[in-house]
Amino acid sequence: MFRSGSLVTTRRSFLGFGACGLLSLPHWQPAFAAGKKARAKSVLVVFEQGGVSHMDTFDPKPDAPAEHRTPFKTIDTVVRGTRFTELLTKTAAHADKLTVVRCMTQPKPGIGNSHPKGSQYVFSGEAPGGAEEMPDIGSVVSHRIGSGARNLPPYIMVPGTSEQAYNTKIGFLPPQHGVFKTGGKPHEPTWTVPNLALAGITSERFKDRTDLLSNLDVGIPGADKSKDAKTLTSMRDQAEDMLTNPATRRAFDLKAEPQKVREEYGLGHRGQCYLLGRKLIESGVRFVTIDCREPAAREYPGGGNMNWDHHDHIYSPKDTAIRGGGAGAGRWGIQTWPMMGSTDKAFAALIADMHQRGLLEDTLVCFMTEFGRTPRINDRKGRDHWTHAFSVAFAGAGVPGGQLVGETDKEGGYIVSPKAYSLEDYAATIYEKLGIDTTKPIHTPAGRPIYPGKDGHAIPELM
Amino acid sequence: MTIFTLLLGATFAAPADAPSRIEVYPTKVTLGSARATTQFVVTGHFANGETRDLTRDVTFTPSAAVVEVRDGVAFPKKDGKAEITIVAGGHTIKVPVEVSGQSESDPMRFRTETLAVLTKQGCNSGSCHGSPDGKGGFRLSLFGYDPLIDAESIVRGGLNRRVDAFNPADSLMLKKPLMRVAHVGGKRLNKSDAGYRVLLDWIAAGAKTDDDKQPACVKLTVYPGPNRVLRSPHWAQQLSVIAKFADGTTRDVTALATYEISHKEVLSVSDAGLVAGIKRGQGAVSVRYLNHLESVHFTVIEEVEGFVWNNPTDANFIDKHVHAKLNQLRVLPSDTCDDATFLRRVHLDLTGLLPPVAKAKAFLTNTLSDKRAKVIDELLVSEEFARYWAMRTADLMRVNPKTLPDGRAELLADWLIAGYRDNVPFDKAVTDLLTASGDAAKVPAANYFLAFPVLEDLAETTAQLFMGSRVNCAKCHNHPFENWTQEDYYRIAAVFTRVKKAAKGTMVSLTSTGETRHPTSDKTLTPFGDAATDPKADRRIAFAKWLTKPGNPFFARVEVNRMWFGLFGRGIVHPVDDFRSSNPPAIPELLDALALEFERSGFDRKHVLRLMCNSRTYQRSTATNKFNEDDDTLFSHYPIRRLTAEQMQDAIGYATGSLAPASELAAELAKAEKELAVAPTDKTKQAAVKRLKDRPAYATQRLTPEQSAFLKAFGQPKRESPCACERGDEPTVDQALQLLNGPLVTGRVSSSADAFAKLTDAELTERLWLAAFARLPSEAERKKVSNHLKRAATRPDAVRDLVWAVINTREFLLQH
Repeated sequence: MFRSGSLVTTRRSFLGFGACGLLSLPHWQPAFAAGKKARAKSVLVVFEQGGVSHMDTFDPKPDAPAEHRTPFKTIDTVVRGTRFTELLTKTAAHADKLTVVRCMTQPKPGIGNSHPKGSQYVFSGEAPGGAEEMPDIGSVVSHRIGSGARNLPPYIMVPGTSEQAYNTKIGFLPPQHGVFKTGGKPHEPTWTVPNLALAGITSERFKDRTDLLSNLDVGIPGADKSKDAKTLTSMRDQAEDMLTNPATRRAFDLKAEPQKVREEYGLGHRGQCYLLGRKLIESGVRFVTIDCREPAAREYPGGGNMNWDHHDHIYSPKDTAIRGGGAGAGRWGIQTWPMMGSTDKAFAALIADMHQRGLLEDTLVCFMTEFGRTPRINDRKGRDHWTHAFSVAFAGAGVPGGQLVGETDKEGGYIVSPKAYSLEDYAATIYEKLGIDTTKPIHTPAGRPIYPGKDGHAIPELM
Repeated sequence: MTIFTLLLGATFAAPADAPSRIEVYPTKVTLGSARATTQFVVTGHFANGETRDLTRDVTFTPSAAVVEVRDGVAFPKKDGKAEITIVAGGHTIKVPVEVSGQSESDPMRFRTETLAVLTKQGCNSGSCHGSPDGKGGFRLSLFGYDPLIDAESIVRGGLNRRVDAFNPADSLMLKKPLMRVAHVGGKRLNKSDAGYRVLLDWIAAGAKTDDDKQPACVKLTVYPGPNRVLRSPHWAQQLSVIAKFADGTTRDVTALATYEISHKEVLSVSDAGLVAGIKRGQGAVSVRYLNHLESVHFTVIEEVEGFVWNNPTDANFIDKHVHAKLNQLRVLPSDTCDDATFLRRVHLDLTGLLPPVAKAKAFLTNTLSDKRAKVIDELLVSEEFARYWAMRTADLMRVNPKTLPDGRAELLADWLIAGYRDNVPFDKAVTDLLTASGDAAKVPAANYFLAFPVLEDLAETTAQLFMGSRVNCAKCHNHPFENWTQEDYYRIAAVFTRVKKAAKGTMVSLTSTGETRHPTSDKTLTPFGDAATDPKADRRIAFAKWLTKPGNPFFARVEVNRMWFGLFGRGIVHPVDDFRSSNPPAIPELLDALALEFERSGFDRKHVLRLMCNSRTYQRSTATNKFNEDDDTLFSHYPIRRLTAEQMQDAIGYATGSLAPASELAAELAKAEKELAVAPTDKTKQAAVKRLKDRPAYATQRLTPEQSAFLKAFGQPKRESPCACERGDEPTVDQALQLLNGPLVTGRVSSSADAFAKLTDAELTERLWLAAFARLPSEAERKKVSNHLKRAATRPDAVRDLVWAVINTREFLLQH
């Protein structure tokens, strides 16, 4: 009844009864126990949405039947035994810094086989549709360990596509842990971040305003004892810092990057988004998700929505519209510049740049997609959704370089290695890398204990 | 027996502190099995009315060796009859004992003993094997709600290694929790625990799970209860827990029951049910045995140095109950707040809006002693009140154009507004809502049934709204912290099972058949509430009758608690929709009295709100004193809290000069209606009337919510859940960014320069202060403003900066 035991705390401690009591075990610690040292300070997720074809990229299948085989050559990488397709020529030069996991799967395929649910599955690391709506991994991370830079939001998405607008979730967490989406087109010279730049006034005038405010803010009786009043003041201080700290502006200022660096990533939308991702990590943002696609442009006629959903004419040299086709129109062929061309360049540049800057030391980089594509080509020259097996890649934060994990059959259809990993395992990997104890519950406002990451196990080859 | 002599000596050493009488529970002891026990609870009654637990301070002397008493617990020795003589503080009581069945075998029972132990040791909790997927491949039902799952899992699961009848001690089920082999859950069991014996004996006897024909537990009695006061230094209380079974037999399960504390800083409890106070405060001890849960509410009191009760006067019975609790817990109430604070507070709470400048000015100079009561009366009959309170109700009923399109959300919202405007008795309003049928395009209340995609949601929402109970847990398993069972859940669903929604269109109709079955037992369930006399009758009518009948344990309590929450930002039971015995009210007598008054007044909502607003408790200052600064649940000072999303948006609108006072809209509407009457086909005039009626510019007054980034940032609920917790009330960085730099604030601050262009420095200052804070600026403040305005390069920018600063002060952003 008194503040030290405000209802929330006590209700929570009440609800927590029967917790397994892991900490009472000095002599035997389970792999995911608390107190494990964090290996990563921050996480950068590259989310290429739509379902990237694994056979055409990280998991080449030169022995697949000719009529279903990828038309792209299998090439050697800098790592002996690790081979990609030629669409990843630039990335191949940095395979020594990557672990490629070829045995990702959605264990309950019915759940995440659509793009909205599949994207949500990747964002939250939990199968959508459970009793509680699960927050994004980034939101959980924000809730658990907060921001690494006080002047920047803890969880930023670059830029966040409109298609994904409803698939990032805050679930039962309070709003401050929601994703901050930069929006817009960062590669355009006029681009600014909404809400984090002073709206129409100079920083000098803003300073004058805040001086006037401290002069007039006489407070109210009892404010020093009120939680709301105190939180309000501290939030205001933090917001002022976000708005006025030159580091905030610098974190988003792509123009401050040397032209050579910008060109390395590619001057288009994707390249600059990847670069912005690196800048935000460098500025101390805890969790960054790059969720971008080349925007429709005059150079890419027919490319209305250039994600990886290649149901139709996947190897088209231009747009994927095809007679008798349907859902797969609006993309460009996988090998074209707005698709894998820009992706290979940007991803290779990102890995090289982060490596060179030492950022891979304590940043976990994850290259993700929601599922793979059918090993067989359909009658519209496309490939459909395939949740049984797909490929993702990791780097940094102690992830071994030059490693391949798992194996699919010769068509790339099913996993033949003894191990397979799920998106839940991916989430558990992130939590463990960050030193977050997944055995500690988060309570919903209604008091239900939730254990984000509990359904997965950190992928041992990455640890 | 030597130990008893020592205790006896101790009792006699303090004769001045002797009880005037003692009481022993239970009054007779029957031990019908070799492992039956009985926990005694001995209570001393003292001359000053105090009660004290003496169980550990008395001697127990059996007249024959058929029974033995250790630490207040009777254990059987052999068949026969005897008496136990209990002596304490010079008083003697004799308790008859009957022991039987000592030579008969009595196998350990799976459903009533093994499962209780699994709960007590925490094995089947939600974070361990009771989680939906279990842990480490071993799944149990949550707190043993489904013995079939548990039987299968324990006896057959785990490659039959979990129980080993030949070497019981080598069963995995024992080796794991003893940590003889690695156990992720850690050490959960000691060989000295009573539970170890139960599990070992049960396995040794063949791990039988076929006791489903044995009588089930039907009732749990915890003694003492339901309330107990622990007065320093006597802060210990032994509990006794007795289970009653379907065949009428009873059994002491004090050792098998699980104990949990709601306020761990106030109370602790041992595995054997010994409660101890830790510090001044209140809390509940919840006792679980199988699917039964009972709570005992404890008040722990002690003297506080320097505390002197100041005998504040009571404005009405509300203060009487609050003051009694404050005095009991040695908390000193704050003084009454000043007029300006009261006026702003009551306007925001009753209408969601700041008081208009003219009204504030008049109020401050008014010298009549009943001016506060007058304002309360005025506000309660205002349109602004009806619309604001209806908005908060609509938040919980998913009145959302997405789920109720084609104007039906507005129709239902309007109906809710009318309910407040006309002060429709709450029992009638709810009955009308719960029994509505017909075309929802025409019958507003029928939309209640269309706002939910599935029937279950209707049961949950109804229970949460009008019974204050979060029964949703019970959809899939028995409620973990309350007596709500899966059966209750589907019985509430059964009330609505004959409501049919047309596949197309908006008809809500009833069929005369249709049943709800229990999802696992498949039993046909009777609807919750009183049984209907006619099986074909609308089940909702019987339910509504049961719900709204005076004396219903939920209905009046839940609604008065919601009203209280609306005025204080905190319920007497908090959260407001989480009524359960393990979450006791802060001041039970207050909740009871308010509920009774609500029923007595014919469920008159305005009457109860008027009483609350007129109480001294509501009119207290936010300033704290040395003896109440740690209190944030007993209403000893007014709780400071951030303005809600809608209050904030409208307050910014009014303070910046963008919004006119809503109280002027009624007159404008009358004028516009008159003009429209002259030219009824004039589109512009029609639009003007509609705008004045629907008030779309006011977030606190609109029919359906505006969905803006600003409102979302401030926690506006999405109207997707019946939980009051859907509204976010914590201050966040996002909100601070909105306030310092967001588009809404920037726009309104910018236009304020024009709105205030004609005002002199002095007029501007007064206007801003009265609008934002309902008070006049102090001399110092006038001076600061005047200096600021003088120094500025351009006046419009200086005005903007000033307005911006005013709306970013704590005095503006907080309800206080």
